[in-house]
Amino acid sequence: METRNDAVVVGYDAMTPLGFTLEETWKNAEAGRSGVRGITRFPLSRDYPVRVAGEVPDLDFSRFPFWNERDQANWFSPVIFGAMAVVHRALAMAGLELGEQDKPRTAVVFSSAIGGLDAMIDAEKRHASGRTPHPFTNPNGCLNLVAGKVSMMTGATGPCFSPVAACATGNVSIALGSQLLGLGLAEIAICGAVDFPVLPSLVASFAAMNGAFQSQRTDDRAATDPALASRPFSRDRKGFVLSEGSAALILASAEAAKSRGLRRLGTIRGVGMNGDASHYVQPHEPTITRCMALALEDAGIEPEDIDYVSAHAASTRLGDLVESRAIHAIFGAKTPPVGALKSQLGHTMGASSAIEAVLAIEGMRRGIALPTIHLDSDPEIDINHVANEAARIDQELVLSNSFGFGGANCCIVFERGES
Amino acid sequence: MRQPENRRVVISAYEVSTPLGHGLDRTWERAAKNESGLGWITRFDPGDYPVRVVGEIPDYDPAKGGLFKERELGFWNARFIHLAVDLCRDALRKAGLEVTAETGPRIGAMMGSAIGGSDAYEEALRTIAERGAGRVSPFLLPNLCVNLSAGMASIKLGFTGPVLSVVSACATGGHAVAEAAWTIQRGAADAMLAGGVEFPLLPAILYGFGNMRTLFRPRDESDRAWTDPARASRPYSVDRRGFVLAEGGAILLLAELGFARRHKLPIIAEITGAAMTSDASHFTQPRKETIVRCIRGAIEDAGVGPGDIQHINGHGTSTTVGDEVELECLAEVFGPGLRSIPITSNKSQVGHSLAASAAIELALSAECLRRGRLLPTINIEPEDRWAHLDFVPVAREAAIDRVLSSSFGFGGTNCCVVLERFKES
Repeated sequence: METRNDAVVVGYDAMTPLGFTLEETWKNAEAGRSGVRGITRFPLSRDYPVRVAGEVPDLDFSRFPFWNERDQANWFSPVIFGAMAVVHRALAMAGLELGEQDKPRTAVVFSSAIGGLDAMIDAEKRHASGRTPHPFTNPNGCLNLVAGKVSMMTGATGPCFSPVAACATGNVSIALGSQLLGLGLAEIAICGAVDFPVLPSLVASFAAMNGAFQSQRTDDRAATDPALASRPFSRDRKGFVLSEGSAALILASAEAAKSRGLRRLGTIRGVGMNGDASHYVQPHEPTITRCMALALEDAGIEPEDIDYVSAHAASTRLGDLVESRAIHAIFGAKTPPVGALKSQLGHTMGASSAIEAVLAIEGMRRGIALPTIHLDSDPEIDINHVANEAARIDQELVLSNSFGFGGANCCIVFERGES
Repeated sequence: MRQPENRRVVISAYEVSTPLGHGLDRTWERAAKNESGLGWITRFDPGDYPVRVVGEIPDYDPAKGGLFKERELGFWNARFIHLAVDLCRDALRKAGLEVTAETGPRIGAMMGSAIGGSDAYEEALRTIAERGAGRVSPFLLPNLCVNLSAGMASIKLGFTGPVLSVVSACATGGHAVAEAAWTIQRGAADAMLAGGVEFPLLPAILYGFGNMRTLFRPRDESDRAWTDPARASRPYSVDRRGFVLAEGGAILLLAELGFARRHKLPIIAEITGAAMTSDASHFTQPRKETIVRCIRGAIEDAGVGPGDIQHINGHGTSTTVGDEVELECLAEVFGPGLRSIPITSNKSQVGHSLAASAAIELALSAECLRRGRLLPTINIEPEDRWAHLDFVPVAREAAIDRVLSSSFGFGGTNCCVVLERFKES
């Protein structure tokens, strides 16, 4: 038998458009609800091209022990506290308090696709109107400070950096965290990703790329209900909906988990990472197929062992179609049940795959497969959808896909842990 | 995950672009002559702002690289992307490694940038002000994606192994090289293009760092750099006054030993040790305890002791606190033996190119091993308490087998790497 070195998931947490807490997020996800609504983060002019987004509700960090007024004023980009909050709660779930022995052996691999871009935008605005930028602009805007602040909060002094792979950022943070544990370079890894991209210039830029949903037609399904804008795998899908979110996973080597009496809530069984070498936004079927195959191979399993696929499916015309073809290429005509969580959450950029990882693990523990909601199935996409309602399905192994801008792909196989 | 295979990782080629010149040859030639690449800023007019010395790459033109057509340079307007792709191509070419159906899937890229496509973002803001929101490039967002350097290299050069970025501020190049080495060691790739690229000479970035009081500004006319910008970056010197912000980039081609042999790649050095730590204390003030642990960790990982390190390529940014803490940490790790280990800060010659600096320093360290020659810490006038140390005031011959290269980043993130002249067995 081959020797394995799987990282164990001992705690996790998320904040999403479906809820400020994991509990709230799960409850709404299981009920098949959507977190997508009209934009409230900034005023919308009449000709602004995008009207919908997924915003984290009840965003309030003041009850966390790390919060104080001075820090709130200094660390003003929500990516900083957004990262610290989910790590704080994930450690609590794990029942893990880092002792002096643990700290040097704990890595922080936490990241963000766009980081504190809001801080840079704010500085530009102040500069343009003749005011001095906030003195904490650069610290907020420095992408690896989401990891740095998590390290400062927890006292973890092992390896600390932020991997970036656009929309696959969450998964690569889990992948590189697992790699550190596998190579014995750390015993505990705090992984995850955060993004708060609902900013006027950013949302408009995605619309300019024709990536973001922007239909203002009165006959569009979303005309009366903005939640319907995110509809992966549907025949009338028209681009993704930008969302906010953050998620953390606490990983430990099997030995470290055992010696500390931590629960095994899941396992990172296999990781596949590759690049498309084709186009900067269009997905490439042969390489995303291979990425899934690499994850299965690393897990030492066959396609038929997979019980559920959490698709990347962002609700773009081409992306969803190409992914469905790649899923067929791996699984044949009859695929495992597939869910597109972005139908409920929208697209939280770098955080999305971290959030989807958390929900995949929670779903396995509960025996619930989350659905693709708003599904008006595209006849060209003939996969086995978990359509519109969550399904009770026993899942031992789940494949979670993520494919980022620039052709950065990362797929992970998760194994069920204690319920 | 599968059990790691624990394979040996070697450096087969590298290319750099620095204020001393685009390309390793030009940089090396001037570096070995103890020259400085720093000068008065020309990229923009800083008005009467007191920070005026920077490092600009004098001779890099992406249109000459041949990988981007003129039209493409219009919409791919983030310069870190151009330089990253050109350096990757040059490194592959130098090693004689062809991207084929067989090798392509086993070659990946891991590189970072601290500020990424901020230049494209500034241009977009100008466009909005001058020509309206409707003229903003639809390519703005991909230009802002830090991982598009690695992504575009994969697109232009055709390799399809793991393709991503890592960011750790001023230590980025080190983390990228170490992570890439571990990715090869684990067996997830056979070769990786690793490093960092940075174009930080933008008003907002310069003023931002300037207002943090981290950048060099002369105190008055008595400053030795008052009329000579080549004297502004003076790491470990008694009169150091902050770092000099610079453009730069470096990409190293790492390969698994067997792969390097099968494809007849040059084997210049081996990465035998690497370590990372985090300060967990303050976002700019360095912490001795964790830096010491990082240096020791890399040496231990190499399976040697401090006495076996023959050259130190320091972080040495030329800041008051940073350099002092670094030397105290080195003194703690190496003890009295430190006096016989030559210490070089390349930043004395090329300034501080943030995410690129550690990669440039690793490439130059490998070149020192290859050529048996040490590069200098120019401008050195050490404090009395460090006067007994060997800061290599001028370049010189020295047969060395093992180098330690250190980098410490904003946010308290540290990375040290040990390179060795390649030996069989």
